[in-house]
Amino acid sequence: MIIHRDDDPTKRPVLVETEDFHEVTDIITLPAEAKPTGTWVLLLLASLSLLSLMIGLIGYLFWEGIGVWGPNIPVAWGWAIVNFVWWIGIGHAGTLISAILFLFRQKWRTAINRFSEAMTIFAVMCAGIFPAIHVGRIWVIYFVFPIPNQMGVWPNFRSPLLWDVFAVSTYFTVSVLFWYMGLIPDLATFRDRATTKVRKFVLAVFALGWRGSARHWQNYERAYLILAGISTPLVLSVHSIVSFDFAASKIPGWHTTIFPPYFVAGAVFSGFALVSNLLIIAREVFNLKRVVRMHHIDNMCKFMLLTGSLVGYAYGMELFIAWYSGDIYERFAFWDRALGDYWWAYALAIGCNVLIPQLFWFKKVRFNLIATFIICIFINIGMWGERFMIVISLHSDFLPSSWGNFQPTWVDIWTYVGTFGLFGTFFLLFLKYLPQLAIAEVKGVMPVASPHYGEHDDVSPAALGSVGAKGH
Amino acid sequence: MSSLNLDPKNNGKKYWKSLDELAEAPEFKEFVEREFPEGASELGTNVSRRRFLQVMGAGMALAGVSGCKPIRRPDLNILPYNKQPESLIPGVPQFYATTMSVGGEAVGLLVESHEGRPTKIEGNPKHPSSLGATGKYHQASVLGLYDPDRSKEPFKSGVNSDWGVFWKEADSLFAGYKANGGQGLHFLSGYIASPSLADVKAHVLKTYPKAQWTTFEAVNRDAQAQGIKAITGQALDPHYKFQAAKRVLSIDCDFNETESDHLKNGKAFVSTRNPDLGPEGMSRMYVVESNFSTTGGSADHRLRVKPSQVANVLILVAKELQAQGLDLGAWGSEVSALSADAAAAGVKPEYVREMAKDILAYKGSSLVVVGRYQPAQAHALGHILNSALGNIGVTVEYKPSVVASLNGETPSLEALPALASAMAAGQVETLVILDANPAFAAPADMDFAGKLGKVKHVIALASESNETTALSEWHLPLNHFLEEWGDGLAYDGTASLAQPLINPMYNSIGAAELLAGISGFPFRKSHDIVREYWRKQGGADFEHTWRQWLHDGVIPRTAHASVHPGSVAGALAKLPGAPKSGGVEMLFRHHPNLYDGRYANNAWLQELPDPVTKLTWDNAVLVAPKLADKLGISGAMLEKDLTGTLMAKYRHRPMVRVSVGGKSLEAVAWVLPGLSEDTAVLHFGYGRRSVGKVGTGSGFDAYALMSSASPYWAGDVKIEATGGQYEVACTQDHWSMEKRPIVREASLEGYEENKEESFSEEKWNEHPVDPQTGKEKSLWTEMPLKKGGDRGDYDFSVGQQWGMVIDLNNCTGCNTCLLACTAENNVPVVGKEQVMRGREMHWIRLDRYFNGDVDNPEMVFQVMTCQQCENAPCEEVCPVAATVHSHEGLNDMAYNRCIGTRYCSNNCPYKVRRFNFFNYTNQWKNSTLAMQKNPDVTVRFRGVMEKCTYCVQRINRARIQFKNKGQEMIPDGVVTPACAQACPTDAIVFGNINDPESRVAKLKKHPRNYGVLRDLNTKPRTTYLGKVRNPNKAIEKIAA
Repeated sequence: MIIHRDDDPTKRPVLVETEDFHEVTDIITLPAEAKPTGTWVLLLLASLSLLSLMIGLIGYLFWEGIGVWGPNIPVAWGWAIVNFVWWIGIGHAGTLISAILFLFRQKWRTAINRFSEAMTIFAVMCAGIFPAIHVGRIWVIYFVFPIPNQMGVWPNFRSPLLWDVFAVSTYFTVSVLFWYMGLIPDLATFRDRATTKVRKFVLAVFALGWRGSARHWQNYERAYLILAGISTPLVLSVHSIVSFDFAASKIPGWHTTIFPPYFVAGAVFSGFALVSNLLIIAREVFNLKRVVRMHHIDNMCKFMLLTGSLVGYAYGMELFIAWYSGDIYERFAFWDRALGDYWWAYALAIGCNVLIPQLFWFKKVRFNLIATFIICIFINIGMWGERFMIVISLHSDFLPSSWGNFQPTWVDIWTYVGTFGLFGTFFLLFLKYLPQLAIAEVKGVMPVASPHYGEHDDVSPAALGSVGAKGH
Repeated sequence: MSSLNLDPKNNGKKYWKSLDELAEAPEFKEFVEREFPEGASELGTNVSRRRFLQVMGAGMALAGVSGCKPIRRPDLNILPYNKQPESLIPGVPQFYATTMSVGGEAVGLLVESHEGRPTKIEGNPKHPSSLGATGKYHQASVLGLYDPDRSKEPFKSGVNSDWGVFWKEADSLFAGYKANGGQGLHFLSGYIASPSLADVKAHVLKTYPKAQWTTFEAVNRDAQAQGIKAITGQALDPHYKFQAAKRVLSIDCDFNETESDHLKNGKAFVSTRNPDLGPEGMSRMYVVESNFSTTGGSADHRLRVKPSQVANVLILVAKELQAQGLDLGAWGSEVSALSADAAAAGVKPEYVREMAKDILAYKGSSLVVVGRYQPAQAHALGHILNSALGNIGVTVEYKPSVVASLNGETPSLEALPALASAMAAGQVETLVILDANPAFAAPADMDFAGKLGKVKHVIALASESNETTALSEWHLPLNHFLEEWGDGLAYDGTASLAQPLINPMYNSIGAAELLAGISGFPFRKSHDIVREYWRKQGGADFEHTWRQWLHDGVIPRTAHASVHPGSVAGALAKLPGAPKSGGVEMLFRHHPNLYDGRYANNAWLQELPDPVTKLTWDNAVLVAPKLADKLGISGAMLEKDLTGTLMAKYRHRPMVRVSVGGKSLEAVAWVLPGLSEDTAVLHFGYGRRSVGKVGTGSGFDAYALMSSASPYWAGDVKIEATGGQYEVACTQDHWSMEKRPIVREASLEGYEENKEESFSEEKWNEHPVDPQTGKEKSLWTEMPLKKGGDRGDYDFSVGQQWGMVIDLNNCTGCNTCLLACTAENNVPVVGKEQVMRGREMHWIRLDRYFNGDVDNPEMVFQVMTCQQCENAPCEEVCPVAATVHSHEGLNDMAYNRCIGTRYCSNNCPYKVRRFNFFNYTNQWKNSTLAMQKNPDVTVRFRGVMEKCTYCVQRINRARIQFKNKGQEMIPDGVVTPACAQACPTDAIVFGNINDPESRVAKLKKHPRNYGVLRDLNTKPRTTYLGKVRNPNKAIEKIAA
């Protein structure tokens, strides 16, 4: 799995600030084995209350109808779809880091991949709630699944919403598998360190009898590679398909071919921003500084700079094409975005997604945790603004007589806030009970893991190294 | 079978269950004893724990199953008729002819009845005032029948009482009046249109010779009656023949919507608006007004002047005509003596000159019409001009006034103050108020409500409690017109009968029945009163004649003959003329939806957008943009949109305080382009103080500002912003069309020059056209058409393919189609709060756009509803295929399949889909309102999308009818959607576009035909005929 081609420790950045495998294991297992801290309990309680608020509001929505939210005619989609697109965008970083960076042998990913995969899964959960609950008749939502039924009707395979169903569910399934797959060796480590019987038993079940044998490692690495191969197109496809919800429609401002790459870039962008936010916090709280190093943050910032600029290019190109096409509806839609009733959403998108990330050109900014943290928050606000701007384009389409504005209700707002409770609850549970970082992988990138550790000769290109769960 | 023992005492068994039993076989005996097969009946003897749990578990599961039943569906008993009513087939609606009267004008109707429930109202094509069309009040009246707020029992001093008590008290009360001849007895009613009721009224006045009868209508024709009477010496009504008029001058006459006989006039007018008649055949209309009416929107030239100057413009025109050589005969000198100043009126003399020249050129085929709110002098002058232009007998004729013949000639606003002062003087002991609400609808300075307190006995007959019944000793519930027998005279005098469609739902009574009761009329029941009245007119074989009349709804040959008007000299100057102008002027007009306020509790009419402002649930002080500027409130109301055109924007509008001669009212302000300078308009009818649930809290009471001396106009009005705000629900705040080819318009001249190009896509759009097919290029290869495919892909070139054409030249923007659709298709009312959120459910949107200068724009209307696109964007995005195409080209909604993603609405370029955000139909649950629902149309639950279906239920009804006859094809004209049927101006044509002989197919080939947003390749089945105006070039130059 972890293949090191340039194992010269002097020539590559130090990814882990220790030379002791055991210390790495200790650092990562400590939160799970220690008693929960007061902060953690408080945060969990706060998240749980938000989660229950969300559940309560969803119950209220089911009881009363979609009218408790803000949508209307012409803006028949409101915050629900904005939140869906936003959360699913966030959920992109995980797969990107796990799969694509893995395939490109970006070793620095090891410190962040577990984190971001977990984040992906929880973000996709938050996202998946919205398209489900935003339908008018939740009790017949199973109509969207191609289940043979007495009505003799299939879903409409031409509908991008149906593609969404498949895309998101596939993505979720593969992400969970991928995540779980990577967890197995670490769960075995946890199991082996477990002191109570129950803990040992539960972990043993989930570790699937991992013994760390070479055969296990071989199978594991093969499977991981295959899953990475499967996931890679998903990174591109999910948000492309989500963007089809808009791109395949007829509405000016939605009907653009630029959407798939633009959405994917935006998704990676926002995903990286949230990963960075979480990582910066966790790094402080759980004292992971020696494993999650500034180099990681630096790389993430560079990624955000790249994707943010791609998004900025897309904004510019959209605007240019709207003008260049000569289509009066398209022109108006973009003019309206920039200067119309919802100019603030456009300003948020441009300001937070294009202008502010330009600060990442400066190394000083990239290496300033507080600045990075704030910029990442701005990016997520900006990305929400972008999603809002796109969805709300509905408010003035072809016939001026039908134009109307959108106003969210308190239920819209608090349901959105409530999804942070869902996310937070799961994330906190993850932080407490599962290995936050991929122990085995981190060890694999440690200088000591190199077979040539301590040698000062040129490294043979054929030198391969793999690390097992040998640190405990 | 002789051994069959039916004696129950014998062995406890009454019937045999099998042949074994009959044979009393021993195995069977054992079987019966065991009751259950082996092993099943061991429970009673030796129950094991395991067995017990098994049985308990099964029992509980079964109890659970049975428990579902009452939750899911309550027990309903569907019983057959004990006696089958004549010719009633369950499921097949029946139609009966009847008559409804509003403001003294009867309109014949056909009412659709489902198993005894009237559900929908159509016009009676045989009736001269309907000609098959209906107005808004007719359409909405069926909801009034089922209004849950209707009074159900008599009330005495606000407390539930009963008829026994009333009649006991009334008998002793009226016995006293019989003795004294009716001294102190007064009656008050609105305009009576019913000859039989007038007959009873005459009997009442004969019985009580000293009794007084007052007729009052807030919406009256007093000025017209006064003017015509003065100039002709007779009580006549003008009857217009717009079909013969080539040049029309409307002096503030909204003859398309709010004036007398507007259904007939509108239809006749649009018959001259066909541009294919050519420059000599197509009419040209000049409208002079201060308010912006829908008729003003249809004008070729609309001259806006201050309210006090409207009548003066007519004087200017008359003098100009005289100057150009028109002989006004005996009136010539009188007209010369009138003075009017063009500068003061704000009109260019050249404008008047050209207008007069144009009218004069069409001597004998021109028409001057004057609106009901104009002073008597203007009406007289209008008659003089028509007479001098030789129009009488051609474009206008005169018939004896129905209102005058049935109600006398005392103007409402003389009669009511007289009654009020009699009340104040204590001369009124008993006041019987028949279906009128003077405590609300009288100008405030009369203080009618206050004076009612001085009347000892007030007996108010009204269908719902209102401001008047609240102050009455007795509030008697009134029948709805669909519950009683009656009759009515149309504007032209044609009599028609009204027959009940349903038994009175409550303990209510008719006006004639009440009068008959208190006056000892020989007949007490409405049926007898009406029938006996007409028996006198019927002649021999009355039974047969009566049935024929009932069937037709119209009594033939009862229209008044036209009368040659006399001419009275010297009267003109004495008539009240234009009011003296001063400062900001205010017009008070009846609201096109609520009339004088009597329909305030009708939710359909409340939610129906005002045709011009598109406001629902409220009226507002309408001010012109410039006046708003002056008042300093335009910033809070107007915003420039991105293309720089002004639009009404904010939901929170500034409140203003309007002060007129000591009276003041706080109301919300609303900017309306096209009003004259320094003019405000406030519609009366809103702001009811004592009304049912629906009308409570809607709008502002304009009567509070009106004075009895000059009720409909006020000068020197002070308007100031109070700083407060008020939320309004407007369904269309955008004024401009943004230069998009939505409503396509051409001048007659331009159209004549190049008919094929005037409305073509090439001219209005630049969508690439495939040179080979001549059609718009499509991005994808369209699916090959196949017959009988399971979804969507049908061959539209075979069979019946439904389509619609809407003629924008005919559409006057009156909104009646929208109401007809609401009634036909069980469209729910959502309330003001939901309308503000943009969730109104109307399947039809009547789009109104302003064109040109914001101070003096043109106005166009467009009926916008589901376009039934062949390439429907909604269909391809629905994830569950809930909206699909039928083989006849309809874009169908399968409500049961819809899960409510609302994607279809998002992808609809026309935004004509409506979503049930809440369970709006809850309002009908356990309510009489449910009885109005059309059983042929699904009632939609929350969470589903809905939209126009082309009234598919009507198509299917016709299909069944013709299939039964063995015909596959439904002939053209059989299926008419509700909107097309109600449309007074025949703007909507529906039919089979595959039949080259059908009206709709012919119109689709017309050069004026175009599809809105056809460049999106949606292939709409509903298309429009472009609007053609016929402007006068000379005036265009002057106006510019």
